[in-house]
Amino acid sequence: MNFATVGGFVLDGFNILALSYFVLLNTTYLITSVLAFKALRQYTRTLKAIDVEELISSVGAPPITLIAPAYNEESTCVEAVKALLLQKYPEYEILVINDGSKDKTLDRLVRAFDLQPANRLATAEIPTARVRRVYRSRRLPNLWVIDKENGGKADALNVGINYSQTPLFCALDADSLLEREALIRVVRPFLEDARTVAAGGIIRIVNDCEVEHGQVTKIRLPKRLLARFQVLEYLRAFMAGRIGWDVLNLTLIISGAFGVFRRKTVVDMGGYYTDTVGEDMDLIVRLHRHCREQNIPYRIVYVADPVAWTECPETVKVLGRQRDRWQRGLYESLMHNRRMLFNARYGRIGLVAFPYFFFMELLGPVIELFGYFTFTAALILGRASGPYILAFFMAAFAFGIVLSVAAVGLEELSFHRYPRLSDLLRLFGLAVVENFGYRQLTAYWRIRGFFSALRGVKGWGRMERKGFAVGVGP
Amino acid sequence: MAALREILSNLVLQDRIFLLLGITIAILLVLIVFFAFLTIALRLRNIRKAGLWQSLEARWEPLILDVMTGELSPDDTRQFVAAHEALYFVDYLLRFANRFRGREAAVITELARPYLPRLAARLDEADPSRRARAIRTLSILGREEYAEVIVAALDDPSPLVAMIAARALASQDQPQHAAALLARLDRFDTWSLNYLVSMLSAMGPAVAPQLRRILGDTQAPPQTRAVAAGALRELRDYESGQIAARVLETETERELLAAALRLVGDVGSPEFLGPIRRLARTDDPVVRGLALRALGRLGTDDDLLLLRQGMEDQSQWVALHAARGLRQAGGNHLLEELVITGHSKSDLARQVLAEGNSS
Repeated sequence: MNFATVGGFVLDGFNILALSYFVLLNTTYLITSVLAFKALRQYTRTLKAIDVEELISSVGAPPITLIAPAYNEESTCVEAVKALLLQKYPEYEILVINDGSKDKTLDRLVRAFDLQPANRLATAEIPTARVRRVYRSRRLPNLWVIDKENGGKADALNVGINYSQTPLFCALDADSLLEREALIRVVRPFLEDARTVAAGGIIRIVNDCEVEHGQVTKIRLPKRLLARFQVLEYLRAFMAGRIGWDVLNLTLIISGAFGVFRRKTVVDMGGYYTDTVGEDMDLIVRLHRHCREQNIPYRIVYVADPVAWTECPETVKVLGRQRDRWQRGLYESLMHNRRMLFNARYGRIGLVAFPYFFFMELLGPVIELFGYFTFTAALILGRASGPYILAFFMAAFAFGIVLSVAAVGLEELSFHRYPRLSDLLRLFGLAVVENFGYRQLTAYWRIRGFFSALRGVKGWGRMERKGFAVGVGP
Repeated sequence: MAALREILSNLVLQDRIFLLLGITIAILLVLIVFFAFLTIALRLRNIRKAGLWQSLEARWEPLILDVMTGELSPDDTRQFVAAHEALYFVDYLLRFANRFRGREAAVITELARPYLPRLAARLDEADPSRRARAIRTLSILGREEYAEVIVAALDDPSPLVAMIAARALASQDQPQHAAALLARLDRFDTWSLNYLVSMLSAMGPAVAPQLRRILGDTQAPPQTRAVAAGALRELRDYESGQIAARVLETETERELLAAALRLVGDVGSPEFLGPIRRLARTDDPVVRGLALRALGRLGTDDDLLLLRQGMEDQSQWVALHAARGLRQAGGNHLLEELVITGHSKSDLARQVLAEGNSS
């Protein structure tokens, strides 16, 4: 066998690998979309049978601490805290953790909410960076701000956990805007099933929506194309992906922007792992691991209707940094818990969810990149015809469009938040357009993130915020 | 079929894959068109539904006002509700039912009455969410008339339906259903303890004797007894202190002990201090903390030392309970001393003293 023949076999092997990856990934997406369709239909019906107002007035709703870490959030922090203060929930405290911000985050909070130094002791001892001072609002007794030395988001969350005194805590981004009923809706699984240790809601994009008194009053698609692509991406991820995984009891991610956790379980695990930028995913993976190792009956659920609005990046540079960080976070949390891979001790998490994230989401972009190279090589060497390659890419695009259009359909089936028909048509258009450039760009960032993770790159990178578009009152 | 098989057998592998890709693309294109049309159809349905509701509201709103002011009798309204609109009308009335009280609420119930049998028929449907919604509506608009149906729903195979029925029955003006509800408490064993406690305590003091019986029943599941203890605490039932103290002496299950300690702490008296002091030294930090809390409420000067020692506990929760207990038991001077001397627990003492000043 000569070199050319061996090379040809290797090339064919890579092509088959890329093809298998493509088929498996898209089949999984299709399956989760179908499952999500069924689940959402049932869920929206169930919601009609539940009186949220009654739940809100119920003394059975457990007290909860909202933990909002803030690092250089001067443009959004006041509005975001106002949104938290408007929560319709019987009993809650807000802990804003100023993680050593270098801008005027602390000053703005002190002035806006009339903060003064106060005494408050930690009730857990998760190791963290030094706490400098604790503040409490003179006007709003449930609002506290903890000023600490910079230690990263996970470290700030750990401070919040240490200082919270309630059975549940809610981890947020300081720039997230929670809808007024978001908390009671996301806590519902904890009421209905005492085994619940974590629950997460949906994240929606607030760019160019109107915000009044910390609440989104007018929903519309962002003006910038890059942000619009992300709206579609989020719909795909939350409406189709997470709901579908939840149906199978395989939730492995709860977004760091909005998730509720049983405090005791998280404290028993030692809190958030600080040596990662993917602390949100790492926490969920470790929750599965901890509960299964300790034989604790548990549930981790995704709830489709509680909404946290968040600002997404609007420039290629910042978006690239975010996606790079997400991929590094994925790498770090999967490697940190790699013993779960194909480990039957962790049940379906170890045998299905973990391998999926490992091979499809983590290694997927690398396989995709190899696919581009080997397809090109196969074309040049005459091992694959031009029409064959073209057909493959057409199928890949068509799959992408199907999944996006299905996600828009799921949104319309359930919560139909985008009121204008033109928004719907734009989303359809985006489903087509994103295949020409945006998808390749995100794949590139993910590959870059993967290799950054291999090189041991740390840190979050700078996120620029423009603040919320404040609506004009009537 | 044979011809197709022959064509396929003549194709090389790459051509087969090519064919497969072609078929896949065709299927995907069909799916794209299907989902797009489905989405637009859903949007149109949503628009139509919103429009329908708008016209129904416009027609029914003056009607409701006329009935409220006595210009129209509830019976007269029937001509304005077509047969196919009956359940929409019930939904519309449901919005007012939660807002109105007294005579207005009775009028709303009266308006809904002729249409409720159609709703009750939904209880035979397979979809649990529809049954749950029917139970919720019946419990608001036809609670007395459909009480039996609601009680029967406690045994519905769907936990959602059963819980909505339970929640509907758990109200102060219906103590007659307490027995039915309490007999099925174990059906709700996956629900949050606090939620169940809130539900039972909503039934008011009339249910206390039955709750006491459950708390004292050593054959009942510990979770059910813990719920009973929680509800008795919410009801401030002083007669249950003795039973709770007995639980502290004989039981070992953490959740039950915790609930009994909370109950004793709130409704007990110093005569129950024996088991509380014993539990303040137990290994379980949850039980230990709650025992110190109870000690703070019921304890005497003899307990100040134990509470002060509790502040040194390795669990910060226990230390916090102990410090708060110390303040409640009249040990402020000990806390102040810690602050003045700059003791390692001075921050804790300062916080608890500040809490005392602000409360």
